[in-house]
Amino acid sequence: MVLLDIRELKVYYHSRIRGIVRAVDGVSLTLDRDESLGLVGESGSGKSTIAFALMRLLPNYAKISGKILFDGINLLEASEDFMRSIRGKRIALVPQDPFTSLDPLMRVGDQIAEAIIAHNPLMEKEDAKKLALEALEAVGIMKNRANDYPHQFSGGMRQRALIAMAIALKPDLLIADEPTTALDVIVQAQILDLLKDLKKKLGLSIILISHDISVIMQVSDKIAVMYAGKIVETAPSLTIAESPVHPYTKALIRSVPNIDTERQVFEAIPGQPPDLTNPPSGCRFHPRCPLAGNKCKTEEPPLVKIGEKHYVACWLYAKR
Amino acid sequence: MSMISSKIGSLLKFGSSAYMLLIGVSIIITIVVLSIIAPFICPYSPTQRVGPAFSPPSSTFILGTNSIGHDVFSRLLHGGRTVLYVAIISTLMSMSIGIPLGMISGYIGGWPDRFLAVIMDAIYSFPGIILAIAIAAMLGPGNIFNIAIAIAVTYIPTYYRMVRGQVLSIKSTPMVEAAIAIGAPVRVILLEYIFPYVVPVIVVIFSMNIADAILTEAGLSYLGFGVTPPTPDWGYDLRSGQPYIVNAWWISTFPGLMITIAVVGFSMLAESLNELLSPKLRG
Amino acid sequence: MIMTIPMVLLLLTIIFFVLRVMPGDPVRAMVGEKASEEQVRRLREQLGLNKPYIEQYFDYLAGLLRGDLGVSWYYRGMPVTSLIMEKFPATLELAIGGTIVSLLLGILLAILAAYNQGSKIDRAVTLFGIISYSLFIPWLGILLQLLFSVNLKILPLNTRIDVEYVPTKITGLYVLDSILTGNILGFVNALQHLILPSITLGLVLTGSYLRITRNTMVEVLSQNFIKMARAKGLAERDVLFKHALKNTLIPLLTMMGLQFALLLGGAVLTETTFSWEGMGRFLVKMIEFRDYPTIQGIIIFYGLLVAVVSMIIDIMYALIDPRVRY
Repeated sequence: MVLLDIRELKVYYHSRIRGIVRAVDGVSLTLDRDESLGLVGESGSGKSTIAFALMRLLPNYAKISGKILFDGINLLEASEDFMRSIRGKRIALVPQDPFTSLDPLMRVGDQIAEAIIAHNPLMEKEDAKKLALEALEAVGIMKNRANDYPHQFSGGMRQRALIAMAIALKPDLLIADEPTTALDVIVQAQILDLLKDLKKKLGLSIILISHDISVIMQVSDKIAVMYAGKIVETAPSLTIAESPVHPYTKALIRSVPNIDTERQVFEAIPGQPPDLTNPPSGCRFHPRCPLAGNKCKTEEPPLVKIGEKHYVACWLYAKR
Repeated sequence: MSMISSKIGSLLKFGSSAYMLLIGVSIIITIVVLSIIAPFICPYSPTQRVGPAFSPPSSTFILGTNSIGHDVFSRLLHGGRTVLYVAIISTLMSMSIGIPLGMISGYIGGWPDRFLAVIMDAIYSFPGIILAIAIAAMLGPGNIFNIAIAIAVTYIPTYYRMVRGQVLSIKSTPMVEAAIAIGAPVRVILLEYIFPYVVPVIVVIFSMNIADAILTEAGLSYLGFGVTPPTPDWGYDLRSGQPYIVNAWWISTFPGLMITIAVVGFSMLAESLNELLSPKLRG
Repeated sequence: MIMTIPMVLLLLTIIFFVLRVMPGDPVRAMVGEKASEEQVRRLREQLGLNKPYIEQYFDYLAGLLRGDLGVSWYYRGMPVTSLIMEKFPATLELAIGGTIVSLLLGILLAILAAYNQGSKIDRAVTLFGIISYSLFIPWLGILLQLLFSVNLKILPLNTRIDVEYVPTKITGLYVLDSILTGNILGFVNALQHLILPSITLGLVLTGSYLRITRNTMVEVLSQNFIKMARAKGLAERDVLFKHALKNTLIPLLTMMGLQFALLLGGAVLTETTFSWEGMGRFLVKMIEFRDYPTIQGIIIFYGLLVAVVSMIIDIMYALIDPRVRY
């Protein structure tokens, strides 16, 4: 059953100084209940923007068009009051930087309880606190730490606390924006395990955003690869892992170091991410693509189906 | 120089700061010009009784006369001379002591630096006008130069701290360490490496200083520790008109207005310069 | 905090010695032109002014350690300490009134400006800050008097209170004392007299830190935990007042500590404009009368005040910011 249906989402930032930045330029995605999606791409590819657009937390100078259907309701046309009732309760965000995403002056437990009360104004403070403690327990934080301040938590703990805050109200959809980027590898593994665990226990749908494809692979059922504000390939994770098709996807996978092979040549993707005020003509990846042809430079390839739930936007595979 | 043209370019983007700069500079120029040409355009002498006391604004006396019969308008223009003179002189004095002290103190460091810093902190945190009153009273009344000294003392710590702060932060950069390593003389290091970074900060403080100096000078004269009669001065004139405010409002109102306008002008200059120069500093 | 002692000592030393090299003989001023040399000499000896400066200095320091600020010359025989204690409450009352006004005005305007960053409102608030800082206190005071006392006749012109309403002295703060003694009429009267001076002082103070408060707020509002608060589904009002404001208060507190000196200085002008019988006005008078001990005493007192206030700020800082405590 479809939970989230994004159609032709476009997010343009109008800046006096730089012109129009096309952060997200025509993205369509669907997400079923109990499904988890991974959005992968370089910095500036538009992945976080989609998440914020979903929750309508983008600044005023961002112009959004398209449709975002959440459980049938178009979020882009909903009232601010409605959005506020959804945020935290039905769609929850786990932010990128655990070190700055908690109010340094408020106890951690209270910050979670605050979210609970915001959506249950008639609830007693005690009950909200209890729910908060349960949430903390679910992410592996002991009850006696709930009265600490954020600076007394380690980075990993803070990230877990933020996850606790996100699941406290048992949302339908959890958006995790680069949840592991600020943390070291061991903690990273803990967080990912936690997410997988919660996904199973609570029946969450998760949108995981990351630039690291190996992280995405661990948690997501299906993957959407983004480049310069557009989706270039989307397929179930296994498919992407076994048979990636788009040159960019392939490059991303190749760039992940493999501990098993003996010798490694690190393959960085040549070139720079494109300027989104003036993106390359045709296929946006063509300046950096080793297989770019003439058509790639002039015409933009559409997203076409090449397999079971497998779509790609590349002239190498589009049927003429 | 490319720096100037790029500054003008960025000026256009910083819309409101540019307007403020423009307005501030216009006010300043107007007041300065008026003060300079005052003796030539004033209808009357500011220190002579030229008409009946307490005359309201009229065609003979544009802004009326005060309690002695002086023309308020003439006193206003000449008052600007006094005020600007004191403000500029005191600012220059503060700079000429505060800046070198700050640079040397920050550069040398150690004992003498810390000692001086404590003294400067003490003066800095003490209410400026009260200190100025004390010094002005000590030095004796009436002499404009003394007033300037009194005000100058209160602002020296500001320059000292700013400059010293900059010196301390730049002193430990590899650039300067390298210069020391190759044996560059202290004077060269101070002037060529450190001073250029210090300049934008000084410019902003300079404008703020003049603004504050005008207010302090007016305050001193208002309280009776500044100029003595019949020297035209905005602060003094405001005080002299205060007892008659109900029936002869013009005596106090115009000098007060001039003080505020002048300070607004310099404050706008300081504010806009601050906005324009800091992004540049932070790069 | 430890800096208080050197600072106060420094101030004392400067004032002490410079007072004595000031032109004009205070003794002569006290006894008048017609007094004989003998009388002058005797008075000088009485006051200890014939001793070498250094000796006088250390005598004074010794007295300080005992808490003795000496005896006034103008008010023959009255201890300086009690004179200061008599005049201080008035200044304190004015300072509190001015601070309340400037806090209310400043914080509201700063929130308004920071929330609408870059807009016309923001620029208008900045402009307001510049103009209010530039206002000459006596001028602003006079204008307010003209408007509210003379024309509209709804507020008193000057002084602290009408003679018939003076409450029994407990703290010296008329507003507080009237409440404590159940003197309603006195309370109203004292409050009425407090309004214009407080607005005058408060308005100018606001200007001085409006910019910084606004900048701090802008920075706080751009922080991630604010975005997170919104993402949680909090109402905008809660985001502002439960998270943004508290985080702004800390730098604001430090700022207010620095502004205390401005407060004291501004109080001198405000008191003079409104004939408010506080320490500032008193100091001015004592300087005119060349009353050395009192002048020294008041200056020292000002110094101590500044020091104590910065200490209090440090303590409050520790109380509010858990990062300092733990």
